[in-house]
Amino acid sequence: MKTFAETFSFVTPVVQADIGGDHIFKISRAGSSTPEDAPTMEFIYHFGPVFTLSSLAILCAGTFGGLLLGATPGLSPTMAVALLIPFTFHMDPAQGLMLLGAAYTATVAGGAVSAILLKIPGAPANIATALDGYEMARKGEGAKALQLCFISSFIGGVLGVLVLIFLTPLLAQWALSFGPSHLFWIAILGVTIIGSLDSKSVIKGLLAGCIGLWIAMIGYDSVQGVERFIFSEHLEGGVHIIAALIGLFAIPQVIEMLEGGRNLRTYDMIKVKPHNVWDSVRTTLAHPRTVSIGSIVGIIIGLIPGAGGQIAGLVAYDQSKRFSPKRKLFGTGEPEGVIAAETANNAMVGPSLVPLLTLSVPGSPTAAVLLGGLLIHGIFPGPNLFEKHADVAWAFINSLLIGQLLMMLFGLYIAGLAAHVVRVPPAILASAILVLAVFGAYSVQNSMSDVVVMLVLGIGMYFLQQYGYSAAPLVLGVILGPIAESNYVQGRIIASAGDGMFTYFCTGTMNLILIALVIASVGYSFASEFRTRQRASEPEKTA
Amino acid sequence: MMKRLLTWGIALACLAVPGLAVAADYPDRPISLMVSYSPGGATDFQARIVSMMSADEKYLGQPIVIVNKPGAGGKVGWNSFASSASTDGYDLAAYNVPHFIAQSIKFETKYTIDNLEPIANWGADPAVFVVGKDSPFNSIADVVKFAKDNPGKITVSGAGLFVGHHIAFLQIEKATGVKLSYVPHKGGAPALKSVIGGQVMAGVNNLSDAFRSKDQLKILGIADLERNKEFLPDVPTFKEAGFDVDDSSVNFRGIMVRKGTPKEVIDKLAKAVPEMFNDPKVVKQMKAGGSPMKVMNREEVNAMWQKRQTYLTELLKDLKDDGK
Amino acid sequence: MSNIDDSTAGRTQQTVAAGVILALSIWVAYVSFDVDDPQPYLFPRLFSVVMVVLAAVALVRALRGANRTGTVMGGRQFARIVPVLALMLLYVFVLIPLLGFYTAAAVSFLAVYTVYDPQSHLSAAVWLKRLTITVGFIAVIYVVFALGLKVQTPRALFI
Repeated sequence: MKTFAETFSFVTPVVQADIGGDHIFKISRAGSSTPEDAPTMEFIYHFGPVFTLSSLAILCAGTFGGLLLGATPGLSPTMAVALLIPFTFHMDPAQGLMLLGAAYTATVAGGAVSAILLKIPGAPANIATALDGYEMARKGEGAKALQLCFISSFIGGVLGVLVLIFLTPLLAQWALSFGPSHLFWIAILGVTIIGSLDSKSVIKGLLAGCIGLWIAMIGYDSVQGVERFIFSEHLEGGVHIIAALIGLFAIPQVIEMLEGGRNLRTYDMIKVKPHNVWDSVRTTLAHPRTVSIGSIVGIIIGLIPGAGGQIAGLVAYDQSKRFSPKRKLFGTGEPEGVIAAETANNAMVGPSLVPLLTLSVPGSPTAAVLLGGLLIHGIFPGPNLFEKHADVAWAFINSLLIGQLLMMLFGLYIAGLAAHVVRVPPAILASAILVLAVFGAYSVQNSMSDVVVMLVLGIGMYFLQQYGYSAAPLVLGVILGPIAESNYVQGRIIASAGDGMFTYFCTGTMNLILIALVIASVGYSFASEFRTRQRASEPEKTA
Repeated sequence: MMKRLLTWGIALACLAVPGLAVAADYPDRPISLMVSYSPGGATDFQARIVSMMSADEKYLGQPIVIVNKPGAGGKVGWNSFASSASTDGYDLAAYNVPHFIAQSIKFETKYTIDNLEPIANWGADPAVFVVGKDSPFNSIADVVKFAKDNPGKITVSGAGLFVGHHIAFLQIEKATGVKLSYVPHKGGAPALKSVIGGQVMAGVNNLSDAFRSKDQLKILGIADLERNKEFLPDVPTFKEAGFDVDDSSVNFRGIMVRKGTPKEVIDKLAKAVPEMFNDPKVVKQMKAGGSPMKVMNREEVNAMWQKRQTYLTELLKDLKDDGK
Repeated sequence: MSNIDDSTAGRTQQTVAAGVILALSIWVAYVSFDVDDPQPYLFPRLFSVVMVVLAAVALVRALRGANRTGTVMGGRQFARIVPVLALMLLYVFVLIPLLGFYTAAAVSFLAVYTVYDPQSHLSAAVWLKRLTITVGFIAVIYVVFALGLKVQTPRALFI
């Protein structure tokens, strides 16, 4: 640690301050020994090491690499960060963690690139981005969609990291208090938005969601290891969520693109409109409600261990849609949809590390991988992380902050180039997406079965889509199924050892709040379905 | 023209015979190592560390790439490994004993110790019995006393069914004669989280993970033959506490290949891999991460597999007799 | 493609779609209830019942022609997508096991591209362009997946 600070001490005066910074830090913290007085403004002292030449180079490499890995179909942020861990073996701990922090930030945003341009969400987190982002790209607004995506990722991401910096001690215990009964209700709350996610028909939305739940049940049951619904050898390992995602979104896209046949007219229809960055900034800032909903939803969902930040984007998308006057336009290329989804995705990053850093409990798979990255350097997160390893811990947190900025800058640059992808003739683009989908599905776990499942699901989805069943609610079912089931099963065991099912699942403040939210959400769906029906039964003059 | 055709022909022929790669050249391309748990789990994390030196010419001279195939406590990955992995030495898998042996006894799996070949062992992580920091229990005896009066009331978390934690749990139930409720989780980290968060009253977990969270936990006992002097010198073994729980639940991690892999390849791996595990860099990183190492060669692992197979068959048979 | 109206084709196709889903739901429910050990099937039982009810409602609405979503698939549209469906299935089920992962990708890429490329199939320049793009694209894929990520792909006759 010291060595590189010394080596690069010529860089800025801030660094000079920081060499003493470690010292100042210790003095300022001398009186406080409990984690409750945890540091607040100290992070500013520790910006020094982040601004050295070598650190900045590592941050840039991490961000750029993260964007590329995130945009590669089939590589989720968790796998991307796991891939980078060996690179940190030979690095100084602080720099190793900077690399991982920057890469984590960037992979989450990178997934949006393929979601917008190719309609292949890089990770479940980017599903909601694909809904409107891809439509925007097809209209020639790909550059704008990407710019909005990176700007709103930045805003959400910074807010999330600020929560991590200032509220960790307050929130860590709270985050840990979520048990199986709460997670069960959260999953059910997720299920209730399935109906409204598909704007056209609540029944078809719910039905698609049920099909998703069923797909998630295929394979071995997670508790007893019993085979369920395995009617083909390819299904033995169950349906991998990433493979399912690729199939459900990319394959129907490939087929749709070629619906025109050998048609010259579709050849150069799309004109890419270059887009002014400042205009995108203004657009983002003109939607304060969407940005706040996205950030708040992302932060809350990120904090809850086991809820899977994966659903943050979809929940934020759905909530923004409910509150937006333009709710009818969601799904047709509405910028608000992209903003909501991407703010939430990145807002989740900081809070998802809260239980990890203070209690050493990883709240998400990616946090678990990052824990590994800390451990190989002998750094054990826990209540006294900020006393024992203040320099490394703050370097990591600050790299998340700087990483957000770099991610936006690189992202905006890429936005300019990548928008040209939609200019590619449909025959080439479709062939490319097909090949990428096969490679992406395969590389998730080197399995041909995943490729077969991906393709079959994809072709099935194309036909389902023709009849008004959409992919988004179906995928939400696939994600929520295992969360709901495993927490239900765990809750049942705990309840039968204790106070019984009703007491365990339906009493207690948190349970009651969640149940109230579920009821409110269901009520809303029915009310809006009723309204649509009334409108539909009126004469068609207005339409 | 002829010349060009010939060149193409040769090029194609070279591409066409990758399956015939001779064992003498092994390995001439990257090797994959399947881990049947998700990224971020203890097995995945350790596998990444112990395989990091593989590209060094001293060892294999080719990188080892980790492939995760999680599901059903490891069953999904091992099933697919035992049925469809290649036998040319380019597909390795990480094993977890007693997990895969217990599963192969309890379920109809495609893997048994008979169709897999061990290469070498890298680590051994004993199971420990933990309770939350604010728990009224301060020793195994406290837990047993409470459970005697309240059978089935104590909830105990662990990482799934028929994994090391579950074996330790079964042994504890058998040795103490009390009834506890086992709550399977998806992996060790969530199981430990449930103990710290107070969702369950106790847990069986990995020594290494519990050690890292020792400020939020009380570690009451260790399911091994002797105390762990390096990490937890003050925690008694179950034997010391007066209960007959041996080291059968200790989680051994190592590398294996499918049966049918050429002998030369196995020999080469069996020689290079333990040396790679003992590389000072690997040892240093493993120690820093708090992961207990135990390097064993092929013969030792073979003996250990056999011993566990015999013991677990016995233990799990007893279970069926109890009507469970 | 035309928007859904009360046309018989639309109603028939919607009915068939809803019918297929209902059949699937009933099968899922049947499997979930027809087991010795109900423990692992508690959750599937729960949602499969909901699924059967929803699918039945969807079927009734389709029969009454009350669907307002989705489109009718015309015969011409179907004829246009048949080649890509066939090529996809051929790619995954035949070419990969026969040729190997990268070769199959190259062949399939070229095939889909050629079949749907509106430019003349007789021009040598067009073919050169197609080949160049195919080779270039597969080379990029190879660099990313084989060299970068070191993914081990299935080999057959070729890589």
